[in-house]
Amino acid sequence: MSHVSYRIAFLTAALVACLTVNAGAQQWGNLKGKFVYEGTPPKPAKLNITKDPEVCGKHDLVDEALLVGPNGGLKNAVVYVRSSKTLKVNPEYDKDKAAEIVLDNKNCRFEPHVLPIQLTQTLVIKNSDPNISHNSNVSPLGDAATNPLIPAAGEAKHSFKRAQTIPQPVSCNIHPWMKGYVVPRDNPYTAVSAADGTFEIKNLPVGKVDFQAWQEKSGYLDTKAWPKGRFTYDIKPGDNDLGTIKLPASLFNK
Amino acid sequence: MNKLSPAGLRTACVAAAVLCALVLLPGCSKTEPPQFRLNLQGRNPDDFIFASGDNEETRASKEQNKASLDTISTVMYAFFGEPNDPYVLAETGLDARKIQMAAGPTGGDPSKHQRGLYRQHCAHCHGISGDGAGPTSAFLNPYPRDYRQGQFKFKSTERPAKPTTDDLIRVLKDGIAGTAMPSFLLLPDDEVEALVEYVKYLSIRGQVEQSLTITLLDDGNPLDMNPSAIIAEHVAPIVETWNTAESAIIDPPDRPPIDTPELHAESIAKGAELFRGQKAQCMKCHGPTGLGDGGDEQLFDDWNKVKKFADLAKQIAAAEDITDRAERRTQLKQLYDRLEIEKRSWLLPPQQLQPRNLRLGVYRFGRRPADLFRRIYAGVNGTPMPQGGANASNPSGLTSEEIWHLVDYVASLPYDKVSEPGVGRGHLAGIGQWHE
Repeated sequence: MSHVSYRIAFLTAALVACLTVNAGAQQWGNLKGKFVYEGTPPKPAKLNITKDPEVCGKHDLVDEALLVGPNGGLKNAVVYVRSSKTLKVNPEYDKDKAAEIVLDNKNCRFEPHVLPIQLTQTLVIKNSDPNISHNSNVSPLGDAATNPLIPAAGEAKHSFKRAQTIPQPVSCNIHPWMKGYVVPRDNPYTAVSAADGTFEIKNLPVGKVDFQAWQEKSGYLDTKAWPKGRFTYDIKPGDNDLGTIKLPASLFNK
Repeated sequence: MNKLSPAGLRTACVAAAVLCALVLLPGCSKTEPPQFRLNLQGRNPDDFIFASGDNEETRASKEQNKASLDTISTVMYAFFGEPNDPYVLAETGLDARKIQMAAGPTGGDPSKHQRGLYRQHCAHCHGISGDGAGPTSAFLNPYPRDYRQGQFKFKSTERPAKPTTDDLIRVLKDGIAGTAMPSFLLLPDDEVEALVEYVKYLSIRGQVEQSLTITLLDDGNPLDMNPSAIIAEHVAPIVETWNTAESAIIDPPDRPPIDTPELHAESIAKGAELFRGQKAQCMKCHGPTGLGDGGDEQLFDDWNKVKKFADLAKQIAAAEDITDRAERRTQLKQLYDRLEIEKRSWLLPPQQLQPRNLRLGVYRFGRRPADLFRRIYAGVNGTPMPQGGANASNPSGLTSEEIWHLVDYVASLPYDKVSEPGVGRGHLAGIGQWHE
């Protein structure tokens, strides 16, 4: 064995040892919270259905840019971990690594409205609407764009190559009111708030983690406490609760 | 600009300068040499400029933004040089001799070699930086292409792929019908090839800049300043997309026979059915008679992403309706201030996209059946025109037989009776049934 090979062998051994120790010591914690809109909940505007009214007209479609529940819970706000090369990912997530993530064109809207996806996963765009075709146009920054035509009952696949800092709009040009968002990320730690405003990210590495918060209408949830929608949280083992995050109505007047 | 000092980059800088000095003898220009314009990608320029009212936090963030811009321009200079002294990074695989021929000021060098072809033929529309914002661009519709996003509309390849060298040569030689892009058929082949190489150089340069901007400004992450790390992460993946273009050429399969007038008429009729049917949905934008009048919504391509403007316009309209006068004034003032800022972050005002009128017989990238097949199969990259054809990732799309019928129908439209010039609108009455 040459001198160099010895060194490589030694370094590899050291690295493996180091990783093993780390893996043993790594602890995980969950982060939850609840977004609450402060002010009179706005009534979502009814959409004007100009195309295929016989199929799309019967669904009472509304503008989903800002959905606030009766108790102020804000739906579809996104919380995600900011990119970092040293971020540790819980092995629990491994089983979803190559999963197919479905974005459905259903009832002439995108379901779900905001869809997180990892770069290792495959986006499957479906069309569950009877008799009509949809197209799904997404052109993420610095990544290949796609815009497949998807006839009824059809499905198209796409994979993202680049993690995005901000959710990317998906639109259907045949039915121009249709708008949704995909959030391609290089880690699984992305949560979208439910109808009551609650969200939870599970199995985060313990220690300081940088987060980003975003909502369709406001863009980054830019508050005093979270400049540019960014915040750092010291994750402790077990449950961590951000509590109620109050968001002034003025944030959404954009 | 040399605030940054990792040894590797400085070496690259010096190497670039030395190489350029060797290859390009300094000209005798009296004016300031032109510079590549930094691409803020629609960012608000105010994010980089201090204002008297800024607090400490805002100042710090602007300070950081400015430092990031410094880093980007340092790397861009080291890797690509200046318009007068382009540096051809070996990893781009570009032909330095061709780049030298296209770059720099117009005219020949002392040994009578051709120089400055890009500035002679292209820069007045496409801009020194290839940003599609040259002096004449504001007067054109559509705007000249901005190469920096690395997206091209007119090509023979699969939708996400780059154009092949032959595609770009064809655009230069034929021009683009229906646009301001002229034909350069009279230029010698080596000059056309030099220009194509330079367009690739500007495009790769632009995409590398975009990649750096995303890392530094969007993600807010520091850049690993080791040149080989920058090349591996920000240059090589982009060069790879250019190198694989040839393998992504769409090869239209054999078409169903139309050698008798009956068969041809049958294919046209099938195409017409598809055109207006629910599967292909062509009519939704191109209109029931192919006049390009099907859409009532505003359409924009990726170079005119102005959803922000459209949203603002709606909010302004809503604010006009507020009954409380003081409240209305405050809201409107805020909105108009934002509109001003948004406008400043765009180089040119947004331009709406028109679905093509298919009865004019004007085709931007060729009228051959294979050209029309590719347009329907792959759509038009960067626009709402979707990728219609079935392939591995979208098996439910249009079959090649269906596409051929659509090709026959679309190709027949300019020769349809009602398309003939001088025929009154009254003749359209017969096809009025297609209007909803």
